[in-house]
Amino acid sequence: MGWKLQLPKFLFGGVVTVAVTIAGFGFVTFSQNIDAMREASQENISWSAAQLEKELMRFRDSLRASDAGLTTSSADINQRFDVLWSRIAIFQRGKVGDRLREYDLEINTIGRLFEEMKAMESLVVSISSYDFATMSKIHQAFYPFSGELSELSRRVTVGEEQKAAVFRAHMREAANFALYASISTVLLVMMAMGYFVLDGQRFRKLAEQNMVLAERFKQASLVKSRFLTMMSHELRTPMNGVLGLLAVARQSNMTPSQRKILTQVDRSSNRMLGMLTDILDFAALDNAQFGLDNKPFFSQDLISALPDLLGPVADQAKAKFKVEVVGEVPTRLCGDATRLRRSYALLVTYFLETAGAREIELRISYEDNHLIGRIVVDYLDGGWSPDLISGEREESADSFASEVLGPAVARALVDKMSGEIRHGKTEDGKIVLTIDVPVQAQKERNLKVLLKMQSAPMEMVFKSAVSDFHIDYLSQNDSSCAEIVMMESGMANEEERVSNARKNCPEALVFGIGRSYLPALYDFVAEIPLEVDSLKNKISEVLG
Amino acid sequence: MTRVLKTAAAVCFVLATAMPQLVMAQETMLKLVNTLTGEETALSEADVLALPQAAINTENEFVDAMTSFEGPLGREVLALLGEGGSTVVLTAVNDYAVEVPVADFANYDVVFALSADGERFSRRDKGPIWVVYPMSDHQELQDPVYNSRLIWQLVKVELK
Repeated sequence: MGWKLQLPKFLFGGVVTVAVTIAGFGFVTFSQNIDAMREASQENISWSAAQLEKELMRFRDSLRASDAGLTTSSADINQRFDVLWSRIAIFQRGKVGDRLREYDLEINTIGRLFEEMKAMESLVVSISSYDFATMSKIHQAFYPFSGELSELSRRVTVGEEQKAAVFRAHMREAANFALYASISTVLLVMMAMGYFVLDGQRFRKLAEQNMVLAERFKQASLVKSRFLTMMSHELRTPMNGVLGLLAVARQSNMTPSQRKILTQVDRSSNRMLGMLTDILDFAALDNAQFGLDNKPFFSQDLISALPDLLGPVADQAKAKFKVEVVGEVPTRLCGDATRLRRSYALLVTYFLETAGAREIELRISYEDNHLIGRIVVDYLDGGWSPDLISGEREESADSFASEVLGPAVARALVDKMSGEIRHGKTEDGKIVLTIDVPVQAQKERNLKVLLKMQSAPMEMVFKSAVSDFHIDYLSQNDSSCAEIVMMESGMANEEERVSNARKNCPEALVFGIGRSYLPALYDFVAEIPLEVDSLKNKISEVLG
Repeated sequence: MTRVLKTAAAVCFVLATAMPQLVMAQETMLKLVNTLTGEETALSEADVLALPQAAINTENEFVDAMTSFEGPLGREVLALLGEGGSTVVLTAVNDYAVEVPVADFANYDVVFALSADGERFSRRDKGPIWVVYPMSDHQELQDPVYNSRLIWQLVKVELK
């Protein structure tokens, strides 16, 4: 099966390699042809051979000028001799010389001509203008070379033409090869493309089948998740009933033995209720509709709730637990406070109930826009599993134990909040589990509030309830710039009073404090002290 | 009297030995003709050597290896002919002639070489002047078109 999956890669690689090889070969051949074409240019070769023949003829003509009834000077003769000499020199150097000598290897016309020139040099140099006898002698000496040079020129011309013919044939073959290679490459590429198209269709079909299977699996998982959610929810209701009745039963007169049994039943029931809550959360995490509830909250509310929440668990496990704030934590933060609290609670509970810790400290700090919760555990006995926290032990359903549930939910919640859980050790060897979640600090600003309370006690209660906020209480004179008008609700002429408030402060929100019979009149209504948290959350929203 | 005769003889001897060199130095090496203006200039060896000298290292089909060619740049020589014209006819001692675009001398450091690797050209080789293109520095010059412009035994330059 593996080779079938690798085949497209090999095929693609093969086609690319062949195409690149052919292209490279074509380029090299073309370059070589260009170079050869340049070198094969016969112009200099044939020209040089012809020039030698021509200059010999001119030299001889200068010696025979008197025969034609012309005068010639010794200077002319010497000049022609020098030029002829320079043409011989061409045969002795450079690529042109090398190629010319190839045509004269057997007969050695040039060599003999040069020897003759050197032999005649003294005569030529010392010749006088009217020394016709010497001229004739020199002329006779060079006479045989005219025919030989003519023959050499012919050999050079024919030889260069043959070379050019060979080169042209080579060019033609190379062009043919390039053509066949190009056609082959095109065919190869087309075949490969055909294969890839078919392969693509096959993979598309497989992908569609996989999508159908995935959809079925998703639906099945959803059904299972909904079933779990429903069952957990359904089970929690009677379990709460059981716990309620147990609490009632414990109020009655019982023997110490009966009370001990009831306590044990109560503990087990609470444990079961916790597990049902975990199952509910775990199922909810898989639900696509799961979303974070990010909104402003007071850091102190989060921190102060933890001892209340986890203290009883620690007491039950006979362990010590404390929460400590390290450094400065901004008063107001924006995030999902409920999920943060739950994450801390699940992990601390794991250490207390499952891992057998005897002393736990939760250190809360705020660093670089991250809320950091460090759970520092000092072990006496028992054991904890880092891999269980990191989720490495829940790969298969077979290994999914109840102890995994809490950490798994905590990890998923932290993950949803774009945070991470790390574990390490302190310098003195204690275990540290760090829950690092990005949480934005809210800018502190003063809220402008116009307070319209009918009774002084209600005003005091309200001010006490919102004492965490920085509030500027406005007077009636500057009420037009109020952000919120706080009115005691449920009083006489309520409708008229709210209408007047909106008229006087058109930009402000109107909050009702207390029970109202006309809640629709207000932007928000809260009964304090019962709904203090709700009121604070709403004010936080207004502060932004 | 004897002293006068001796002095006269010495002067005659000095003149006799120095004259050929003086004549050689003033003999025309290169004739410049501007056919547009009809102006003609005859340059002696001394005139040519008085021009700014340059050197290029290059190979060509007529030498065995990289060679240093020394002499005035072609554009320095053409400058003596004045401005105008698009073609130059270069003529060798044997009346062989080639036509060269004036642009060649502006585009490339074409040298009117008097020597190669420090050795002066003789008439029996490429002397007195060999027109050399910097072929090793410009691949486009490695072509038969430019090979044919490597004229040697140059004696005349005509601007057209």
